[in-house]
Amino acid sequence: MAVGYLCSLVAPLMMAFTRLSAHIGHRPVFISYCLKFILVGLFGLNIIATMLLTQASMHNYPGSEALRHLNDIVQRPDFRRESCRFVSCPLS
Amino acid sequence: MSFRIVSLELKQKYEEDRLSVHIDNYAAQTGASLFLHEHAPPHGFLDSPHVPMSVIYNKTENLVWPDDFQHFDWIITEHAARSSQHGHQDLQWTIEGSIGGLRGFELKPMGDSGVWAKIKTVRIVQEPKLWLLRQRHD
Repeated sequence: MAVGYLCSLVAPLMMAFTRLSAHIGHRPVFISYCLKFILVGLFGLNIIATMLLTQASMHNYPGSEALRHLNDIVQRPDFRRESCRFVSCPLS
Repeated sequence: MSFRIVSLELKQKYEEDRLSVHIDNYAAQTGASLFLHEHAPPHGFLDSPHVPMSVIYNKTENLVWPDDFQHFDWIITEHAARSSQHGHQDLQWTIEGSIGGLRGFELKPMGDSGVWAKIKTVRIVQEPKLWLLRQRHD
């Protein structure tokens, strides 16, 4: 949704830019359309790639998740009684 | 009472309630940092935990399996096969949980039939990367 929103903002700007450049330089319409298509496409791909990589890296910290999970286990009320079975927490 | 005796008493008190956790290299690289050492000093500006429990977080590398791990109660490891191996003497490791990490990206259709089946989207695929193993001595 965010990609579509951004592209819908950028597309009219690019169209205006290409029309202006075509008007100034008397470029063929075909080139201006190609330019518009490539620029908008590259911009959209860039945004999609950024969002994907951001999402992927946000959920790619298994070490912190594991430690957080362990901290949750340690904070359980019944953990102390349970943990006394361990080597480093003797009953004596 | 000398400083040495006080230190010894504190050390004994600390060791009575301690819990030792080993964090392996991959876990340390993927976010198991000092900020998550909730049950060990320094606590800094964070609140102390509700249930007081001293935990020793160990990140020593190149330990030899299983002899060097017999003193740990918990290990965070990327080697799930260690749970099926016996530790030192009658000690055994059991899996208490697994945590997923990025495996890659894949294209999947948005629906099962019709137009939606032809439209494909990129999805993030995860797979278990780290395992929480607890030492049991039955």
